[in-house]
Amino acid sequence: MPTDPLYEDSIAHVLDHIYLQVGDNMVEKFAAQSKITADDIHLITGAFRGIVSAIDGSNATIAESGGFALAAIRAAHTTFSGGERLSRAITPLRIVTIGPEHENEDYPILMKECFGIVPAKGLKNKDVLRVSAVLRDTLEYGVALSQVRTLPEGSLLLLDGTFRVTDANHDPVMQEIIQTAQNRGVLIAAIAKRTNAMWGGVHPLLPAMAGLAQKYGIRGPWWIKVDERIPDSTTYHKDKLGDLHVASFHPSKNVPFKLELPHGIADQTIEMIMCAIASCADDGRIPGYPYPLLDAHRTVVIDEPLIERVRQDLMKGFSVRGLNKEMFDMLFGDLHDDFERY
Amino acid sequence: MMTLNDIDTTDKTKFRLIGKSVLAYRFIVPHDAGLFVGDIIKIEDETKKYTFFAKVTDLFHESNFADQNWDTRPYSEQFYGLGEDVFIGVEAVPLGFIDEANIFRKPRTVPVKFSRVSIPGAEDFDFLKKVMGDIEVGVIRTGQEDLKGVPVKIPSAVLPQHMGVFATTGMGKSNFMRVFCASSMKARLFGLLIVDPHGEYVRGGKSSTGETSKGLPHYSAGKEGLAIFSIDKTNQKKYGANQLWLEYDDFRMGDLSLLYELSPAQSEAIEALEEFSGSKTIAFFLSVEDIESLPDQVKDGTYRGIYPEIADRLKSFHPSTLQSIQRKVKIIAHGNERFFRSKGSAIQEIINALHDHKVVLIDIPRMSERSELFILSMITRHILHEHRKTAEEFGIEDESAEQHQILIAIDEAQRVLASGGSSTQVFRECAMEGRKFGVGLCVITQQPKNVDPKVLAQINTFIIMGLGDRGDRDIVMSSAKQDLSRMEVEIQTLDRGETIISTLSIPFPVSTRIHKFEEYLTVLNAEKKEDIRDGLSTGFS
Repeated sequence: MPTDPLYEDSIAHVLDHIYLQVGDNMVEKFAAQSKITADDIHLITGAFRGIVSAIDGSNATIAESGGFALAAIRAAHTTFSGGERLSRAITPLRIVTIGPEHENEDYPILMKECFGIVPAKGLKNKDVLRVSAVLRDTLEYGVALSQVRTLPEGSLLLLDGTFRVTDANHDPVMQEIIQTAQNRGVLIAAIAKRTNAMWGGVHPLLPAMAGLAQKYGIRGPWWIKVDERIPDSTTYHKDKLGDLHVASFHPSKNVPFKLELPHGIADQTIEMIMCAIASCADDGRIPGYPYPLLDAHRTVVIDEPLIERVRQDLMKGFSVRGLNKEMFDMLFGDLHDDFERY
Repeated sequence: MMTLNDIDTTDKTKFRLIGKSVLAYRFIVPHDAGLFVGDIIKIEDETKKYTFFAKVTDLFHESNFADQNWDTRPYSEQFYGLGEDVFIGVEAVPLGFIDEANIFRKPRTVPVKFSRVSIPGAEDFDFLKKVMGDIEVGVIRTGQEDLKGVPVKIPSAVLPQHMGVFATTGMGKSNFMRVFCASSMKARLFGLLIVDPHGEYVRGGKSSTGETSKGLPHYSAGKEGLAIFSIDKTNQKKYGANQLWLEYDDFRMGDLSLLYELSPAQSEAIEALEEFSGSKTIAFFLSVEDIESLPDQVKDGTYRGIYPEIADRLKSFHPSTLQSIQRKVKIIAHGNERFFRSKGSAIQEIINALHDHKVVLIDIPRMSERSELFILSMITRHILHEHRKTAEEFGIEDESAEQHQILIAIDEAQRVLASGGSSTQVFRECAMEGRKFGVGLCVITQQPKNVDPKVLAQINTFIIMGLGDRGDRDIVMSSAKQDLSRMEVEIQTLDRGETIISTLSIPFPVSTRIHKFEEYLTVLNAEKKEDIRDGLSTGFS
């Protein structure tokens, strides 16, 4: 690629920006500001022989026209014990419409199906990605609720993401999931694959935590409860259902993940949850990440071949109803598809 | 109410056909499935109503993971517990299929995608019984297992088109031959000639691996099918064997070239005497006292010996050439006096026994390798001569139905059927033309690569046992009439007593576990012998 001063400047600028966030003495600054000591970081020890069930959902846009979009959603659970998968279940693939109406028409139907309630407030069809994510969450929470009601006491239920919901209508649902888990003695945790949690205005939280553990010479799996005053964002402070934790689960690979555990649970329960997660985080594919969540993701993911199959089914349906390919292309066609052919 | 469908834990992606072409099948099995190279598998095409059969040729680990290095990542052993994403890929070579009419056909089509793959039982091989031959040697082997209900039988009808037994020492060659002999004694469908210099067929004894074994006379129920010609007085008494005698007329001067390395001059001299009978040439050389002066005597007209016409033929040869030939003739005549004499031969008796479809053992204990080849070449020449004469008299086509079938076993056949040798003319003729006259060779060797490829090309029945040398395996695989190239791994991993039999009338190469002779003998001896009086009235009515 030919060099260009403007291009090189932009690369340098980005690197300066990143360095400001993570470079130099970030860890020392974080230690000073957070006042976290080595004693605050707990080692994860012991073994877990119980059941671990993981929930994940998937959504993908199938086709988009100017006025509305079609999305596919589904959710699944996969349940393990002693490294062997015990069971898996998946919701049928659902094709939902986003627009052109002001409020989403599929949302109340899904809420009724999954929880027997009608959302108090309608879901606005403004942002296709957000709406399809909320619809997916509905199925995902439905599966989670079903699992938390059936898992035996002492099992662990892993959610992908956080306890914080995107749409307020899901608040009572999430509360019920957590409450049911606690009532039945089922351990529950939400693990985020990535997080935008920051501290000090510009610094990412997870690298700072990992650096701190390293600075204190802590090896092996560890966890720490994060004081709610450390992160910048106010989203962690209001209406919270869970407490923020950071943990690294692999014996030799220091990869921190952000976790949410039910608000106010005892340290002993936290220890049990951390131990349960670490016991299924030794998978060589993604060391440190609990493999039931990986398996749930692989089970549920709506990939390109599946999207293509849905598109073909739609085209077949068009044809059956006397609508031709031209009409399909006019509605959903994207010149980028044509561009890619050349 | 929310719908949540269980994903069936029975993984249907395994044991179903996922590839590949008419000539190569592919499917996957669970990572812990017990499948072996050589296993025969059944593929049921429910759409076409065909049942395909294929043989596993290779097994390899596979996974669905996009990460090429997944199995070398730390802690990756966790995968094996994860189940169905890690599996064994299986390559199989098609054998053929059974159509709606239950007829076995060549694999000219491919099963429908995702056809079910399973391990067949003995009942699935019923169709094979129709195409199997009549000389039982073992049972079908599929991978590590034997299908007891499916005996493997070599068709005797194709044996004049020669049989090859290829195995390195210790792989069960002798055991196979004894089983084959016992079944031939039982079936009585052709004559089988075996020269037995070590007494392993007559007395049994110890095999190359040190195991004690029995001989063919121990098959007492089949003794009618056995004739032994022996030079050993003890064996003659013990086994009721006939005395083996060969006479000078059974000998031809050309036989010398089989037994000795000859110089060009010696070969020429022998060629000059080819038309004279053995009794004349031997008597001539035994009688001439001063052979170095023979050329001079003939030229001077002073030769007064018994065969002046022989002397005349030799007059132009150098005295040292004649001396050497005389020495060799004397060694043959005197060294084989135990069975070689001027008058009186058992060859016709041997041929009669062969025509009576018996297994004929030539028992020559403690005799040299030279004597073994000497006897074998003389008997083979007589058999070939007689069959050729019969065919010429009656016409090959007309006589074929009535023609006697004889199989002549040659152990360590590379000695007489190597490339380029003209000295072993009689065996070469047998290999090239014998089938026309109902004379087949049973070529037994542990070095097939040293056997003339033209001879191997004439063989239609291949018994392939463990062969350690790659060159030997390659030549055998390329010479067989059925495609064995995809079975290389199986051939390479053949164990003692295991063999692959490739012959014309059985539609595919059959993996076989050869019967253990001693156990087979017990079964044969326990079989009810047909009583000659069966069906006859046994009393007055």
